[in-house]
Amino acid sequence: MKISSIFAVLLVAVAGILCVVIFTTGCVQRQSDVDMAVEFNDHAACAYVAKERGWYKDEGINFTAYESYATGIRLASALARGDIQVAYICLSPAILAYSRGVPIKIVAGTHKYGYGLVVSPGITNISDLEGKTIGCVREGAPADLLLNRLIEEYNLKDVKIRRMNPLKQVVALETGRIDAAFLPEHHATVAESKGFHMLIKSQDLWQDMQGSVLVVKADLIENDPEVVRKLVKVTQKATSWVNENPDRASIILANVLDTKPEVINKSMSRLNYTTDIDVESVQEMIDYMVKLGYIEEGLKAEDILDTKFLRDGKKI
Amino acid sequence: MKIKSVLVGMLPVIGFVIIWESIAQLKLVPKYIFPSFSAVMIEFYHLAVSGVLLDNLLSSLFRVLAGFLLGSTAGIVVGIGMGSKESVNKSFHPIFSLLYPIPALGWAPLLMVWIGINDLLPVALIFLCSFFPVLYNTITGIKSVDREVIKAARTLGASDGKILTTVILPLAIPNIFTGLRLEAGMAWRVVIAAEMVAIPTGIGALMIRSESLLRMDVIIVCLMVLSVMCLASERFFQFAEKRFTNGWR
Amino acid sequence: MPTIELRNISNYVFSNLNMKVFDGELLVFLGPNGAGKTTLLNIIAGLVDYKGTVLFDGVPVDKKPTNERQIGYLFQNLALFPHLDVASNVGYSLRIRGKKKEEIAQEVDELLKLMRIEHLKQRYPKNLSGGEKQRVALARALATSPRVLLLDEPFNSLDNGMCKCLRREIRQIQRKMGITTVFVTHNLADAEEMGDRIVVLNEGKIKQVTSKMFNDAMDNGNRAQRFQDCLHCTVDCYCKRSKSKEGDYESVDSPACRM
Repeated sequence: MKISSIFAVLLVAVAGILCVVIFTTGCVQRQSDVDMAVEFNDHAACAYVAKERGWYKDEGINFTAYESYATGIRLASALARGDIQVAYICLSPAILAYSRGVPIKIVAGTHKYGYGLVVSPGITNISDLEGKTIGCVREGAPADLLLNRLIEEYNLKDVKIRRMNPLKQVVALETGRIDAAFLPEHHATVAESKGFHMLIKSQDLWQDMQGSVLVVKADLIENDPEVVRKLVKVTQKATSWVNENPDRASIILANVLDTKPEVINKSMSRLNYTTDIDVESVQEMIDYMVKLGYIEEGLKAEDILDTKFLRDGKKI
Repeated sequence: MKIKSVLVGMLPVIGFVIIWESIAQLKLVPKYIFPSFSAVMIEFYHLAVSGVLLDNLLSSLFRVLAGFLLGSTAGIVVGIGMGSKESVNKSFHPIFSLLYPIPALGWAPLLMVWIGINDLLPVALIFLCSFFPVLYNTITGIKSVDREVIKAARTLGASDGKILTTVILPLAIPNIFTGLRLEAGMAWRVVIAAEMVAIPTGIGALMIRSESLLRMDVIIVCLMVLSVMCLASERFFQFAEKRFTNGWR
Repeated sequence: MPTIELRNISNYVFSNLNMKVFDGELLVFLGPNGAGKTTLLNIIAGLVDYKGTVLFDGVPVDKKPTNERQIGYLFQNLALFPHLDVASNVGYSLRIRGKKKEEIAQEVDELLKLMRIEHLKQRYPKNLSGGEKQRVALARALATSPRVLLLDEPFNSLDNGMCKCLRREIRQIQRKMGITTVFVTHNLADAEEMGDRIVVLNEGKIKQVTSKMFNDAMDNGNRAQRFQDCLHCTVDCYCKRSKSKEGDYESVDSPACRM
């Protein structure tokens, strides 16, 4: 074969490869790297399901860090430190972080309700709680707000509050160190499955209470709004799937949260999984936190909410 | 001259404060992570005026005093026994040498089950933190007394009891005070850690509550108070030792 | 004052030691380091274990603890109480005996005057010179009104001039009070100056006993010689401080110079 022929073949091969590369570039998803965290409970059902089913990856979202925290307060600290840019977090810790100046925005809801007061045998009504010891997470968390509301509304006297994370509260209930525990789901249902009684649920104390939300750092919205749009899209997709497939969802969650599917199933029935979030429910929580002295006055729900991605998602 | 040396000592502190304030004012670090010195001072004022700081400080102080007094008294008494009687030393030394290396906070999980979460928990932890170091400093102090001085006391007509009270214990005081001085500061560190566990009152509880509410300024105020209390406690024993040794050292 | 007798004394140093110290005598034990001199003093004091018998005036004292034997002991390292001032050091034994404050103060003042250290009353041992410490230790030992005085190399850390001064003073006090005294040293000059008898000790055994051989030198000729030495002595000692206005030593009420 002549040298000129070989050269011509090589040239064509290179041109061909180049063409393939150029024309297929548009089809390949651009990878977006984010650090994300969730709470270790079934409030973040959509996140666990979406991860398990690979929906984040499908949208080109790559997690460089994926952390799980026992409480929303710890998550809020991680957001403040800059460890994470995306979080599925309870509303009140998000409000706390925002009020301190952490530049975050709530872009979607994940559920309403999802908290309950579990009591030991012998406590049959709310007045029996007087003089008793109640376990609760740290100040600022939704369970703490609900407990304060309970004490206020029922004028309970001489209640001792022991602060500890939900897992320790369940153990403390079993060992008798506490008489009751205000727990987030699924921990509340886990405690119930161990022979304790759910005395009151968040629905009974707080109408239309916003549970967890999807929160992103403001600079992520500024620098990469597309990834935020995708996160909201995945959250909406996963939330619908959870509502349509509760049994399959409970199997996924039971595996992640190391408990039984039937417990998760029962727990999930106590939450209202929805990405809808409104200004009024957020403002109500802000106002109550101001009343408790956790944050300063003046914060408006509109300042922390950015629901354009939700609206875009619904249009699609 | 004295004013000059005081000023020289103050200069690094002033420099530190200036750097701190500058970092915060220049927003090199977010204020919710690193509040400015002025913000911390303002918060200190609010906490002081509202009584929150004093209430929590008094709770911590009570626990420190109770635990430290009990622990150091027990340490001195047992130390005198072990230092002056070989039979007592032989009986207790094996068990104490096993228990001594366990850090005070290492006992917390066990004591939480045995005692529960109440005022007694930090008091018990401070007792343990104070007991062993004071015990061993007392023993060292007693054993380091010159044997010839003890013999001299004997030749001067003193019984064993009189020798203990008039010679051995006074000469052991510097060592005993060293133990007390070191553990006075440590007691404060232990009480803060113990209060962070689940006690609702005290400087430690105030710190952990502030952590939940992302109040770094309040946490820094608590740390400053802790520092002052540690320093004050150590200085107190330094002063007391000087008074007790009254020019003979 | 008692006669001290040691009968068949045995321990890690001695083997069947027998000897006597006579009533009012100043007996010197002379020997090198490790000869057993200090051990011998400790046996008399009851500070070490031993087999055999120690008798004071024919009465065994083996069962008597040290604090009941009524001895005054000047330790080699003096063993002053560092946490007590001079007055309290000297008055220690008086306080132990439960005497009244006024009595203690009076006796302490007398002893301080005897040793010429009144001006050191409120000083602490860390602020005393070697010679001053010796005097305090001796005053303290004498405060017990001892029947037996034990001196363990008391001049070790002192210079020559100070030694001479103290030797004379101690000798005078011992003679005046008539206390049975046992003095140990490795220094021949000390032995010559001090002893009524000298017992040479080595490796726990008595090698030689010499009686009053040097004290015979205290005749008039040597007395003048001693006086001359004091006059030209350059040590600023307590003898010199108490000289009369005329500068004449003979008129001074100083035991050291009244030979």
